[in-house]
Amino acid sequence: MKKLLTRYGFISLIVILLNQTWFVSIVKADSFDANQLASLELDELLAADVQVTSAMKRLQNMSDSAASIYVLSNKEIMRSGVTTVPDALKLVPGMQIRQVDNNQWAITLRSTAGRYSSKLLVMIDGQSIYNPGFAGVYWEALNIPLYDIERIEVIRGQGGLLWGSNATNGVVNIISKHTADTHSAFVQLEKGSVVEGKANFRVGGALANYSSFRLFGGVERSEESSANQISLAPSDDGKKQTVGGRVDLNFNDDTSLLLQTQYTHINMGQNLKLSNLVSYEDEYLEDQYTRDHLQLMARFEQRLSADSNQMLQASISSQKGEQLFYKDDFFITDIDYQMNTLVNDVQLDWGGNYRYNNISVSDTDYISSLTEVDSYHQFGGFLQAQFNLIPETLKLIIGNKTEKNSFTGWEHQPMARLSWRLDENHFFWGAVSQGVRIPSLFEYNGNALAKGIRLMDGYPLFKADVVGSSELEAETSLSKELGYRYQVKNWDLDFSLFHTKSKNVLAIKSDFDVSTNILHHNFVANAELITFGGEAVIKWQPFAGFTTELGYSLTSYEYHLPEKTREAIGYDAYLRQFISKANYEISKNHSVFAVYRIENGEAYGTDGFSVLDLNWNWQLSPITSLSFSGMNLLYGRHLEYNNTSETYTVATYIEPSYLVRLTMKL
Amino acid sequence: MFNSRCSIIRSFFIYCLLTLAVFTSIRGGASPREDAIKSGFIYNFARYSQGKWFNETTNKNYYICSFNAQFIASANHTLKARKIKNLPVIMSLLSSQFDNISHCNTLFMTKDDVDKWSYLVKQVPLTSIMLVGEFDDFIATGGHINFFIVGGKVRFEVNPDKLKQSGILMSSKVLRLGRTNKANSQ
Repeated sequence: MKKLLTRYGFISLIVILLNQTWFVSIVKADSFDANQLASLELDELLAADVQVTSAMKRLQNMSDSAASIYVLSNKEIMRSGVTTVPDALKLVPGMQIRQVDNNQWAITLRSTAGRYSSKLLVMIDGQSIYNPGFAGVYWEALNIPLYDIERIEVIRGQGGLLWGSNATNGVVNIISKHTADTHSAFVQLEKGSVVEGKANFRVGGALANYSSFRLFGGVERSEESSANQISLAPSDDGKKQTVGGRVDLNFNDDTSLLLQTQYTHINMGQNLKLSNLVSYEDEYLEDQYTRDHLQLMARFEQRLSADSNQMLQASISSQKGEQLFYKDDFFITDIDYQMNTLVNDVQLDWGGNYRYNNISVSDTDYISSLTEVDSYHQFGGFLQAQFNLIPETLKLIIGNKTEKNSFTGWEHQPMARLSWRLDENHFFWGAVSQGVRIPSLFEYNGNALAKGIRLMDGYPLFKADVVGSSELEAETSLSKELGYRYQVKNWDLDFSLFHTKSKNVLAIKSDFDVSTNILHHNFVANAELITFGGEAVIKWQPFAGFTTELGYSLTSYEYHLPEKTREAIGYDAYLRQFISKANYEISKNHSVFAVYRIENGEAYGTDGFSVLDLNWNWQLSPITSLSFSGMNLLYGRHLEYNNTSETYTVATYIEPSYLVRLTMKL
Repeated sequence: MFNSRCSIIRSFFIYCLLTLAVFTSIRGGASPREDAIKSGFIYNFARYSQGKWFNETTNKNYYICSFNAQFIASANHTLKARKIKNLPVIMSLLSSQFDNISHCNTLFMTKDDVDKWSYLVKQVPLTSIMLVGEFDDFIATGGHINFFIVGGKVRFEVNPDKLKQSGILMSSKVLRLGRTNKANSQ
């Protein structure tokens, strides 16, 4: 008992009492603005949360959000015929999706993506899936059945306040369907020019008291590419096995518990560019690598009143991988608590989080650790308040997230957003926010063998390495955004502009050590990076059964480097993207979905390209459907990623491909 | 430093647990948004149904009735200017179980109306009315469609046999979204 009554325990009790006082004084929100439904279509009603306050790391009303956001619905994912989450993200205007080979991807928003670098936070149902080794995502190990995804929410720009660190360029939140919506059995078989064979299943059912469950699994085998830029033949074949399940226990209308797990094993090939251990010349190698990812999550949600709710989420994630140059084994424990409430018409969201990361990285001939780092802690809290300055017209949102992490200490991410609804058609918003990127484990504690340096012709190369630093400070980004939305009955426009100035950006300073004759490429955090650009999306439905969408985005990067340093991730460049989508329901049983993408710019060291993806859906019977997809059509083979200076991976040519898919819903 | 950190973490968890415990006994009520969503579903149930329970040629309006004033207010806002079978949707507030409900095309019984429902289902002929509720045993006691909430979202269960007995043929587009409950079908 004495321990309970420590200073912190006393403070906690005071806060609880204050909370009680708040709840007694809650005034029910009578404003219909907050309760306005975007549409009365059944899909929209099924997706609608019963509380405006239930922002459990989820978006509420897209049209009234003071941020640049895009929601990819299950309907669009299924109509488009995409087979993976990265493919699905290609449908989001402004997403930078570069396919490295048949398995690997470089993905981000408003920045340059790298195979091993990202400032994008990716989550499945609120659980972060990033790998602490490089603070990015092994997209090839992400094998979620697309038909069980309710929607994918994409926030362009800084989302650190509600979601966490490393969300400086954006957030991708994949939200899976509630098991109440997946009672049927589902089987999907795929075969194509890249996908040698793929089979997925799901069974779901009801339990007592409106509780329900589902089990799912799948196997996939894919072919290697036919060509790359090197003399060594591509070896990017792949095998994946996934099994998982979810249970939603419903105690009553107000209280529920979600239990979810997924295990994925991948065994894939890749071509690597590594420094020869003797000569230090670049050499190309074939590698077969494996990864095992296990995720477990439990989330308790409770509605406390008509205007308040709370959530406690605990999750563990194990990520284990072995490849020629790197062996990692991470065990991550996350605990999040969040409460959302209305107090006198002010929406308050607050919460706390704790992360413990058990680290085990084995040294290889190519990458080693500078010191013994076997764990990483991170904890903090956030508070956000939304004020209705002029009811239904002018809103101000302010907040701050403060966290302490083992690498850089305390970090703060304040934010202010203002939105103005002029009338039912016009909506303006602006935001100023600060985001933080914590150095990855490799940047903090890694040492990697690099291509050697030849000081004089005719002499052998001297050894070189890339060296991390425990002195690195967190990268902080100050972002200013402006946005405008226009909505009428059958079309709408979403337009946003951004300007981000980042300090303490990762750079490389090279230094030749004459005592050891080794050239050290040292990580330093002293560069400045300015990124600016914008996104515009127009959606138009000229008549029932035909929808179109046009998207355009521009991103520009400008580094400001101190003397004798150079960029570590990306370089001064720009990227222009254009996307056009159309879905046409030819008849009750036939529909066609087309996506045309044009990308142009220097950001990835490749030529511009323009490709067409086509998908034809044919509902053979109420339970069986067939689809035919053609990907990367019209342009021929092309390279999407050529940032050879920042990755070991060798990119292959992306080629036109086809896929046939049979789906049975029993 | 380590002790201080542990102390903060421990206090945080104690706080979370105590908060959970303190609020476990507090029950949430239906918010206006929840009522708005339910009224949207009720609108779609009628929109996607055919049958003798509602004749659009002899009726001038489609009436959705409820004893709950808050629901009626929310539904009035949500279904403003909406039409079913090309007829205006009118919300009708009932004051007691003794009111005449013969004009109602859909009757929505909220959690506060369990006693009224017990009376109505025994004393009043409820043929040709779409019966929608939101409480346990609503289907078992003769209701057609019952709302429940899972994961913070509104879902519904349907007794298709009861619907058919009342002359309501609901589209498979709606039925496949709901959970079938044939318990105690008569």
